[in-house]
Amino acid sequence: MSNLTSAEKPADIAIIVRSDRPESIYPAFILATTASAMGMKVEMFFTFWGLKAIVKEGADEIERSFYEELRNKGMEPKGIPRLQDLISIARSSENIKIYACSTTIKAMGISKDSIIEGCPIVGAASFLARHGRSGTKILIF
Amino acid sequence: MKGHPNENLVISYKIDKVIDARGVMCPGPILMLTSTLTNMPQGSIIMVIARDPAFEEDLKSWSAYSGNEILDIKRSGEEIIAIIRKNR
Repeated sequence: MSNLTSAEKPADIAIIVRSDRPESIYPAFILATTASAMGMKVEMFFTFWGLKAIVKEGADEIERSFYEELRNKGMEPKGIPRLQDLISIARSSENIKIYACSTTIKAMGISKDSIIEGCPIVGAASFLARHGRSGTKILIF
Repeated sequence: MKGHPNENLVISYKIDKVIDARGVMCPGPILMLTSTLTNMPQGSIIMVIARDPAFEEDLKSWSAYSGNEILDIKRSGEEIIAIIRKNR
C-alpha cells in the first residue's frame, strides 16, 4: 500500500486493536495519544471486533455501553476522557496513523464508507513490512 | 505575600496561558497541555493546574521525551501546579 512506504520513519509503537471492549479500546487510544504528545510515532491497526472503534457511531456505542456497565456496578465514569475526544486527537495528530484491516472489514460486512475518514484499509503484509525489521514495539489490545 | 497561608505558591513567571485541567485524569492534563502548546510560539510559558495524582511524574516523563522544560512544580493540597516552557 502506498500509505505504508518503507522510506518513512518507522513507528516507535504499533498498536493492534482486536477487541471492542472498553478495556481494550480506551487504553489503546490513551497510550496512542499520550505517546504522540511525547513526540513518538504511533501506528494503530484495527482488526476483528476492534474495528468498531473506527466505524462511524461505533465509538459512541462503545462509550455508552461502558458507562452503562460502570453504573450497573455502582461506579461513575468520573475523570475518564471521552472516547470521541481521544479518537479526534488521534486522527488530527501528525504522529498517529490509523489503519483498518482489509480482511476483517470484508468478513464482518463493514462497508468502506462506514469507516471514519483518514483510515486507510491495509493487509497483514503491509503492516508486517513496516514493523517486522524495525525496532517498533507492538502492543496488542 | 509574607505570612500568606499559600506563601510557597507565589509564582514569579510571566505566564502566557493557564490550563485548568482539574476536571480530568490521565492522560487529560498532558493532552490538554500538548494541544495548547501546538498553537503557541516557542518560549511560551504555560501554567497547568491538575488534580490527577499521577500528573507530576507524568509531566516529568513527558518533559524528558518532548524536550519541553518544567520551570517549576508546586503542590497545594490535592492540586499540582506546574510551569512549563515550550522549547520545541
